[in-house]
Formats: sequence, structure tokens, C-alpha cells
Amino acid sequence: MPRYKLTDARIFPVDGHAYLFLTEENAIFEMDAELEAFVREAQARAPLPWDGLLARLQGDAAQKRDLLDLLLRGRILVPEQAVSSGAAFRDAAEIDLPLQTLVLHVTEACNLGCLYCYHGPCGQPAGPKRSMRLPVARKAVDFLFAHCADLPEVVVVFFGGEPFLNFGVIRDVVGYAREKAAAKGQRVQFAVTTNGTLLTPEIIDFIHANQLGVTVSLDGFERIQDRYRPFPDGGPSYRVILPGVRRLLAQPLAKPAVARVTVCRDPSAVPQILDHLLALGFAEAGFAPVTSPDPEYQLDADGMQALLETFRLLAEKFLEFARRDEFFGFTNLVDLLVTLHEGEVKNYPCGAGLGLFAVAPDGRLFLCQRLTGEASLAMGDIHRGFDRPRIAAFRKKARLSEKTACGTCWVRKICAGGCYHEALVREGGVQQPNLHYCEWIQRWIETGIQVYGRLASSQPEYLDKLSLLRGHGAPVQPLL
Amino acid sequence: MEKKKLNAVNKRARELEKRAGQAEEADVFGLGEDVMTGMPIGCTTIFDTGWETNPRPETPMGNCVSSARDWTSCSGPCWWPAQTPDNITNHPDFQNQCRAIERDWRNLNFVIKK
Repeated sequence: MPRYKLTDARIFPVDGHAYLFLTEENAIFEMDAELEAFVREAQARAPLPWDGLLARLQGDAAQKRDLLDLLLRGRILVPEQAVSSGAAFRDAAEIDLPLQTLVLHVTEACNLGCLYCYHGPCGQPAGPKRSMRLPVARKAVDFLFAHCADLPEVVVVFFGGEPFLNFGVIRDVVGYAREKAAAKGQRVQFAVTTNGTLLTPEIIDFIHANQLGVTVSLDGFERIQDRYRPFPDGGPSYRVILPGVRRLLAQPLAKPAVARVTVCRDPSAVPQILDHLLALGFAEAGFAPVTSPDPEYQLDADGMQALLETFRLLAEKFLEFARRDEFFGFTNLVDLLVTLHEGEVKNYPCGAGLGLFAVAPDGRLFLCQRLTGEASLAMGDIHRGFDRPRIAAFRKKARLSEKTACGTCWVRKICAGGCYHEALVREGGVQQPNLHYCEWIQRWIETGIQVYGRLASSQPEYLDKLSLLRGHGAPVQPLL
Repeated sequence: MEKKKLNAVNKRARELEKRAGQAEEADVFGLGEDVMTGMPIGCTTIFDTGWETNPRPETPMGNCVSSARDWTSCSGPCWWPAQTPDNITNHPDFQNQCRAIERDWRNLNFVIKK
């Protein structure tokens, strides 16, 4: 007689509600007290046959049968022999995925000399910095449209270096890509990540006119920005950047501008930095610990713990805003809540090497903007095309089921091993799982589930709005 | 509204719940196209050596077919007369009272040749 066991799941009690998180599915259910007791017992005991399960439920026979059926079909109870579906059938390694996002590394040059930059110290001469020439940039756009199949929308991202050092090419490429998109009946969106030094009125007009999504890399207030993100000669950058940023944010943008903060050394300043950036007019700010092999800048264990505590404080603040149906632009939490709400199952940590590639100034293709220039990770070029065997080999090795260390982790289908670039720098290879921050990620996601549960029980429509804000579901007016 | 014992909260959970609502039409657990059980789709007409030999959740993982799976693997277009009645021409309704084998297998009956 077949026996059934509880699938791999965790129970989270939140404010008198019990939530069940299925680690294999990223599904979240709410249970009543009786079912919670049943599930806890099922977690503790050996697999039971159908009759044994029925005997442990209360209610009339039909209700019990319906509930067990739901538990089974919802994959909460699974046959005893069921193994983790880590070896997913739908395997991207063999599938010809359309290209959706192409990151154009329009220049390697940068006019800042950030101390922790992963492209190396640009203040020092380290060979010539190349910029993408117009024919290469146009060819890259051709390449995107040639490989995007019938996707309704494609994305062109401008990255660097400081991309606005090559504004001429950006301006041309935007027009060119619009023409291509119109001819093919597709939409094209643009995004740029800038250090904010070159936000001239001309560039800002261009951003407005073409609805560029803008991310400004900015580390917060003057003291921190000037210390870690100076000009190559060591000169302070904050006061140079500020007028342009104010100009940019003076009028509402089609796509709300976000700030992206690198955290090194002093995580306790994060709440003030966030307040400062939101006060400047950014819609949101996101924080990431620096990716650096240099212990001088890395957050140590105490620093990571402090960062987690700060994030938890900000999560409380986010909830206060949510209670008033207002928005608090703490990107990390918004992203996490939307991830939880959508329950998307990840077998790869991100889209790099799947639907996203980056193009170097010479036209070579790489996994992502951060890995541009890593010769060992070149994936073909836009002239001769994708290096398909290499991409297939990468996908095969990068998928979650290959990361044996992740096998029993309860957040594996959310994290999937984490950032490839971080893994290259800290773990020695893009396909390694980021074991140095496992525990941190688990605790942060646990915090996210606590916040999620509180919102789900009191104002679920707020979670729907966050999802819409991130482009899931039907387009509506943004929250802001 | 009556308070339910189990409520789908996020989108993924709602998808699973919706699938539960369609359970009557579903086949055996693990046979649906979008169900990932780690088991190979196969049949003896395709020579998958050893595909029914490993009942353990270890390498070669899923290299076995449970009895429930075996049941429908051996009907329809697959041919394994020792196990199931011919439900293509002579007994097309044979399995109708058994929508989910792991639940309803008791309803299966013998086929008596007249």
C-alpha cells in the first residue's frame, strides 16, 4: 500500500498565523491550528498509508478526503519514494532560449576611482580602456533582435565603466533600436547604470525623452561617498554629483530612478543612507555588500551580522509604511517580498547566460555585465554568434542540481547558489555556490517571510501592488 | 466565507491549489507533463535499460518506476498485455472509475473474457 510523507517544508508562525513554505515549490500556504498539528506530526513521523493519514484528521469523511486530496495534489504530501526534483526535467542547458536582455559595455573607461571596484583600480594605468564603437554597438542591437525570437519586449542596458562617457553611441543606439523594434513589431526598453557624474541637462533630457530606467551608483552621504567613490586623483565626488542627481530627480521619470549602494565597512549607516537617498528623490535604494577579494573592504562576520540587523530594522519600518498603504523604497525587501509573492522556482540564480548576455566593446559576449572581460567566460561574439557548446556546458554546470552543497538548503529554490561573479571572486568559480553567505541569505529570507506573513494576513492587496510594481501581472499606475 | 484549513497565500501556492481543483481529470501523480518526479518517461518499447531497477533515492536517481506509474505506463499506446487490459479497442472505459491510481486503485476490477 503506498505511503505518503510530508514534502520538504518549513513552518513559520507569524502573529498567530501558521505559514507552510514548500522548499521545492516556493509555495506558501496558511494553515489552521488543526492542520498545523497534523503537518507537524507528519514531519516527525514515518510515512503513513492513506488510511493512517485519514485517521489523523478531524471532520467528516468527505472533508477529510478532500483535504488529503488537496495536500497530495498541492504536493504537500508526496509518495514516500518521491525524491527531490533537483534534477529538473525542463533543463535550460539544451533549450534554445530567446535573448531578452543585452548589456552593452559601451566603455571600459570610468571617471571615478572607487576603491573597491571589481574592475580593478582605474586610477592607475592598467592598459588602455576601450570604448564601444558605433558599428559594434549597432551590430549588437542587430544581434539582440536576431536572437530574441518573438518576445514582445527586449531590453538594452548600457553599462561600463561609466556609460555616459560614450553618450554619442548611447544616443545613436537608442534611436537605432527603436527603429528595429518598430519594424519587427516588438517593444524595446532601455536602462543605464551610471555613477551620476555626467548628468548634464542634455543627458537628462535624453533620459526623459527615451524613458531610460536609471540606476545611480551612489554610496550615500558625502562622507562615505567621498571616501569610497572619489575621483581617480582622490578628489571628492559627492558635491560634483549632487547637482546632476537633483536635476534628474526634479521631474517625475517614466521609470522611477533607483540608487544602488555598495556597503563596505560600516553597515550601521545603512538606514541613514537610505533616508538620505529617498530624501534626494530616489524612488528606491538597494544595498549590496561589496564584492571584493580584498578583506580591507569585505564585510566580516560581525559586519554581515550588523547588516542583517539593520535590514531587519528597515523591514519594521517598511511594515509601518505598508500599514498606512504607503511605500518605503527599500529595494532589497521589495525584491524579496515580490519573489516570495510570485513563488517563482529558480534552478539558476539569475538570467545571466540564459536570457541575458553582456557585450564587450570588441563585440565578445559574456555571461553578464560583471563578468565582461573574463576571457575564460567568453560565450562567443556578436559577429560569429553564440558559442553554443560553451553556453550549454555552462548551463549544465551552473544549474542548482549540480550544487550538491545546496541540496538540503531550504532557500535553494530562491537563491540557487547566488551571484556568479561573487562566486568567482569569493569561491573560485562561477559555478560554485556562495557558501560564505548561505546563513545570511537564509536568515534574511526568514525575515522576509515574517514580513510577508504579516502583510498576507492583514493586507494581501499590498503584496499584489508590490508585484505589479515589479512588472508582474497587468500594468497599472505605479505606486509612487 | 467559511474558514478553510489550508489557504494558498502566494501565487505558486494558488497554482498548486488550482491543480488540486482539477484533480478529477488528472492522471497518476508523477505522470503529468509538468510534474517533475525525477523519473524517466519510458516504456519497454523504448529500450531504457534498467529503468525500473532502482527504488532508492540515490544515483542513478529516479531510475525506477513506481507501481502507480507502472500502471499507466503499461496502458494506452504502450503494450504490456500481462499487466493491463487492452484499453484501446476492447475495454476503453476500463480505467474510468480510477482517476488517480494511488487513491482509487481499489475500484479497478477484473476483465472477464466473454
